[in-house]
Amino acid sequence: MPQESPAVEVENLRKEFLAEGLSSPLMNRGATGRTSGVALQNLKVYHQLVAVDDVSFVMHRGEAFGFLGPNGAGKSTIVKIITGLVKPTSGTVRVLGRPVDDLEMRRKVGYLPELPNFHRWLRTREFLEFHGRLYGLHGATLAKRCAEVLVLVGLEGREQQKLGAFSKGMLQRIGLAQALLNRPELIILDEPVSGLDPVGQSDMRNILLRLKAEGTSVFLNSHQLVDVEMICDRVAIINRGKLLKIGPPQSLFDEPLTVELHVDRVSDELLRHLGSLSLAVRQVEDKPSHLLVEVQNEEQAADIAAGVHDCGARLYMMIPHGRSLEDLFLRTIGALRHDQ
Amino acid sequence: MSASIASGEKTKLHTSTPSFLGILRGELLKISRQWATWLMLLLWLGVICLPYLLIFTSPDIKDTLLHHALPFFYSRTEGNLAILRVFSGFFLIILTASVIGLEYQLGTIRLLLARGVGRLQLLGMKLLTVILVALVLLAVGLLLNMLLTYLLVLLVTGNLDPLQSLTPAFWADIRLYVVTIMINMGVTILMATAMSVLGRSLTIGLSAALIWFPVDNIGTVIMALANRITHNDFWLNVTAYFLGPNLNMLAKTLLPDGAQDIGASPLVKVDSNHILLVALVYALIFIVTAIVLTWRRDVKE
Repeated sequence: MPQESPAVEVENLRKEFLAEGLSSPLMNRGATGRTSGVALQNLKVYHQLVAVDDVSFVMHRGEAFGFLGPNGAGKSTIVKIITGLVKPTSGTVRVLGRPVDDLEMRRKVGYLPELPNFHRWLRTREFLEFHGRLYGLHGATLAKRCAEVLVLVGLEGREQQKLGAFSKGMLQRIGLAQALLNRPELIILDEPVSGLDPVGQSDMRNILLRLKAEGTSVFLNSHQLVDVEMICDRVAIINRGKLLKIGPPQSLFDEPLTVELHVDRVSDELLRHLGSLSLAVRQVEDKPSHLLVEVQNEEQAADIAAGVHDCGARLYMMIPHGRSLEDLFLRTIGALRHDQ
Repeated sequence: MSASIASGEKTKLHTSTPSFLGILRGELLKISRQWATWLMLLLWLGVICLPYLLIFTSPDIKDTLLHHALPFFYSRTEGNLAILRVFSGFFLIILTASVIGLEYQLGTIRLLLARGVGRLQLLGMKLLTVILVALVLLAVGLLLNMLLTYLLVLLVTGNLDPLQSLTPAFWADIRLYVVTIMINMGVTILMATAMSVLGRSLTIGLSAALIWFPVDNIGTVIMALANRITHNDFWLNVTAYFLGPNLNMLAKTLLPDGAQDIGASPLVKVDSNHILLVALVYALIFIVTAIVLTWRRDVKE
């Protein structure tokens, strides 16, 4: 059986834009801080802005892949290169094993752009039929798919409503609906939850989890780190056009996990024993029966619980202090800023 | 079972290819659902009908129709067709800018191109949609003019006898005039397409396309002024290559007995071959600009 090609394969990707700006020491820096061109004080100049700098990664089929980075990091440029909207300066991108300009491949991909703005004078059904026809769907197949995706995104019963009357959240939903019309093998979502209320965000998350469970590859470019952490199998962190980290969220956490213990009494023996099982132990100020224990991973946390009992103490409560993707993201981006 | 159905359906969905008619239908749907299209059409109809109302209320119309029918029909038909030419041009500029430029302005171009439709295929389909609308517009305009002429004659004279004066040469001239309108429409559509692709927005595309003809019409006045100041014929000769003034003169130079012209003319003598060549060169520049920019340029919207 031949090995299935990755969902997205990016190799040594680089994109330079010709950017316009005023020549001043501050404005003359690109996303990577590197520019070329002639700089004349206070004159409008054009210079090469490096938006993506030697980025390589592979997104496997069937996985949910999160793409994280602050504004201007180059995320959207990479998404646009993957969707064939922007041509790279150098490097290669293959989607579902085919080049990005392969039209046959595109019919297997769904795309929801950032801040979607649709033909607001069209009705919901007309809008979906229009996009369905672009996929080559027609007749009963098209009607069936339109009805199915409307149910999926929770817009059933709104077929005759004009998009102009839709809220931002509803536009996100109809945007997702059009992206799902062709039952895509790969769906690329650029900030899909922006503008959604908490219920909408939860619904969107559930839809994406369902798509993932059905085997659809999900490429998620989002600022919503909680969603990325919940949905994505792997994440990539990008800043100033460069890929900083890539891997499963848990594997990216390089700081210890802190567990707070509430025990009936703290003895020297207990402190010594827990010290031998963990990276560090300290008592919480003003709470003599509370301890903060630093461990490398969750498996070690289980040993800590056993260790408390071994010393004859009673464990009332064990609270892991969360290591969130948000912390990791902020630390990674923050460290880079600090270095610069 | 359900898995195999889903798999079969998935294959069907993924192997479907966008049909020519499907894309065309989609573009026509978008146009037809915009109230601006219908408002423009209403204004266009009003502009075509208005001259007939003025003629109908003129005091000597009956006498003219009874005693000088053929010159009257020549004069009025050429005038009305000139109105059709100019105002169809406005309609088509707005429509083209809307069909192409608005797609960039709204950012919906991202969805269309990511969809598996080729960039040039999409441009071609949009262009074809506008051309189809232009042909319908021309047909409706001609039929409406004929209908209104028949009505005018009937209401003024009580019969259609003045129409007997129309000669085969008259109809041949009208056919030739219609060809000049079609050439005008074609170049106008291509110009608006190039401007919309270049500007990548309805606002910029529409503005650039709408000011094109006024600018080169007024340009002839500026060139005349430059000639008077410098006494150099270069300024006059250069107007022979202005698109608008050339198109204004097309019917006049093409028809055996000439025709009424609206707007500025080149400041040197030009013949129909020259005008057709200028129109062709401009058309080629417009279409090449639109194709190259659509094909090569990044979509950053």
